[in-house]
Amino acid sequence: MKISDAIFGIILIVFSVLVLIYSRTLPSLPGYAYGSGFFPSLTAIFILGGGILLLVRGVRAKQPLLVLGAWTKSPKLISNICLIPLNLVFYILVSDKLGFILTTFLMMTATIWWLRKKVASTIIVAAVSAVITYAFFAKLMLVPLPAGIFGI
Amino acid sequence: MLDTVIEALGIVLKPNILLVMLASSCYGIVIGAIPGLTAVMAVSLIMPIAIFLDPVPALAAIIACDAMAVFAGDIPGTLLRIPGTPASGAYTDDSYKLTQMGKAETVLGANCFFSAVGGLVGLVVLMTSAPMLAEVALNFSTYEYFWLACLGLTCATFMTSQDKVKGIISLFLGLFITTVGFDAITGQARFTFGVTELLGRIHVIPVLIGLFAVSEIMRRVSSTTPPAAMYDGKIKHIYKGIFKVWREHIPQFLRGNTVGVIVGALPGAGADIAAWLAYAISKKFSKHPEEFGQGSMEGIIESTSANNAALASAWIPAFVFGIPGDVTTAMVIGILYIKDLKPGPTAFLHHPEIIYSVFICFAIANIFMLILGYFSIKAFRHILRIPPFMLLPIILIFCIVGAYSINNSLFGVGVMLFFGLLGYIMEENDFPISPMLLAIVLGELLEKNFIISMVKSGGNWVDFFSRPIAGTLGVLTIVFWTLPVIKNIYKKCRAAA
Repeated sequence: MKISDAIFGIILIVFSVLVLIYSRTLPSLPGYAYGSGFFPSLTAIFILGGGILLLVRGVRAKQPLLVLGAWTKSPKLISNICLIPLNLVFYILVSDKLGFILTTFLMMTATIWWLRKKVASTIIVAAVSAVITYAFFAKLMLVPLPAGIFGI
Repeated sequence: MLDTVIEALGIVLKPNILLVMLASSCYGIVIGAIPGLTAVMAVSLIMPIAIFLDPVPALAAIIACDAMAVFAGDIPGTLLRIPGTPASGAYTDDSYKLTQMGKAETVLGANCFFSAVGGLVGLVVLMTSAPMLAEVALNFSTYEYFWLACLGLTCATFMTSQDKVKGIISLFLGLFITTVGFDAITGQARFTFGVTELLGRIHVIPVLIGLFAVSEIMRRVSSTTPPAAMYDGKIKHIYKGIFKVWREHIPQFLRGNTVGVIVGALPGAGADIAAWLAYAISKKFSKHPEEFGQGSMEGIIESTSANNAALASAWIPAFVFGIPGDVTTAMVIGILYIKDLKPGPTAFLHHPEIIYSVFICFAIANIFMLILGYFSIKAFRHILRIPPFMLLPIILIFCIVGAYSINNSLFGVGVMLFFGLLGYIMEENDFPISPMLLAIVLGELLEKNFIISMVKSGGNWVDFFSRPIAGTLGVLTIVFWTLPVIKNIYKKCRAAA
C-alpha cells in the first residue's frame, strides 16, 4: 500500500509544528537559553524539513495519493492482515480478566482456524501451544503473566 | 587477564549455558532458513526469554541465534533462490546458479565453513581491538560521546537508506520518541499528556518487537507470493573438498573478512551492508567479473565471510562505547541496561568476566555452526514443511510475552501494536526502520551528552571541536551530512555547464 510522499509530507509538517509549539512551553535550564524543549525542537525542525521535501517531491512527481497493494484485492488477505492488530487489541482488553492461557487459546483458535479452516486440529494446536507457552514462560522463566479470574 | 579468561571459561562452560546456546542455535537455524523471516526477527523474538535469563546465558542465546540465523539464510537462497535473510541476498543468484549446475553441496559447504571461519576472524578482531579501544575510550568526555553517537546515527541513516530523505525522517522520528517521558537532565515530563506509563520513557524492546516482528507477521499473512517450492535434489557431503576451495580463494577469503570486520565495526552498519559491499568489491577485483550473478564462487566466499565477520565486530562499538554496531547489538544494549550492566569502557573494568564470556560464546557459536550447519542443511526440507498458519500465531504470542514482560504491563503490548503498525506502513513506503531503532537506543545518550556539553561550554559550539578525537569525529559527521548535498550541487553545475 503506497501512500503519496505529499501525504506523508503534510502529516510530518503538521506533526512537527505541533511538537515545536509544545516544546516552547517546556522550561529552560536556569541561566541558559536551552532546556527540556531544545532537543525535541531540534528533532521537529529536521522532521519539518524532511516533510517539506517530501511534500514538494510528491507534488512535483504527481504521485497518486494512494496505490493499494495486491492484498487489498482479496477479502481473505484483508481479513488476514486485520487479524493481527485485532488479536493484540483483544489481548489488551481481556487478558487481565480471562488470564493468559484462556486469552491466548482463544486468539490462536480464531487465527489458526481463519488461516486453515479445520476445527479439530486447530483446537488441539491452539490448546497445546497455549499451555506450553504458559508453562515455559510462567513456570520455567517465572514471567508473571496475567492470571485472570481462573488464576491461570 | 588470564585469570579473567579462566573465570569466563568457568562461567560459560556449564551445561545450562551450552544447552541455552544449542537451543537458540536450533531456533536461529529454523527462523533463518524460512524464507522471509530475518535474523533480526529471530533475535527480537528471543528477547522475551533473554530478559529473564542471567546476563551471560542471555548474551550467549543472542550470539548463537544471530550467527545461526544469518548462516541459515544462505540455505533457501542456495536451494530455492529465495534468500532467508537480507545478508544472503547479495549472492543468492550465484548460489542458485551453482545449484542448478549440480554444485549445491559445494556451495552449502562453503556457506557454512566460511561463515564459521568469518565469525572466528571477527571474534579475533573483537578480542584484540575492544580492550585497546576501551582504554582510549576511558578518556572520552561528553564531547566525544556526543559526536560518536552522531556518527553512529549518521552511518546508520546513510548506509541503510535507499531514499536519504526518508532515512533522515526515520532517524529524527526515532530521536523524537526518546524525548517522551522524564527529561534525564531537568526531570521535566515531556509529551506524556497525563499518561503515567509514558513518564518512564518508551522502552526499546516493545518498540523493536513491534517494528521487526509484528510488522513482519502482517506482511507474511497478507503476502501474495506463492509458497516456496520444495527442493528435490539430494545433499550428501557438504564439506567434501572444502579445503581445496579455501586454497583456491585465499584473496577473496581475506578481503571478505577484512570488509566484514571494518563494516561491522562502523557504528550503525551491519552484516547486510558488509555482504553487499564485499560482493561489489569482489566483482571489482575479480579476473572474471562476467561470472558474477551467473554462479561465481568468488562472490559467494567473499560475501558469506564478510557477513559473519561483521556480526562479531559489530560488538566492538557496542561494548567499547555503548554505541550499537547494528540492529542486533542495539537490542543487546537494551538487554544490558535491563541487567544493570552499562555498556562502555568502564564495563571492561567492572565486568571483564562478562566481556570475556561473550568472546568465548562467539567461539562456541561458530564451532556449533560447523556441526549444526551440516544437520540443518539435511533437515531443510522438514523446516520448510512447518506450516505458516501455525508458526505465525505462536510468534505473535511470543511477541506479546516479550512486550508485556518489560514492565509486566499491557502498556508494553499497546506500544508494540503501535510500532507494529508504524513499521508496516514505513516498510511499505520505503522508510528504513534501522535508523529509527538506533535513534531510540542512542537518543537519551545523545541528548544528555549534548546538553551537558552545552552547559560545560557555556553554549560555545567551538568547544565541541576543541579535543582531537571529538574534533575528528565532528568533522567526519559534518562531512557525511554535507557530502551528498555538495555532490548534488556539483552534478547540477556540471550538467548546466
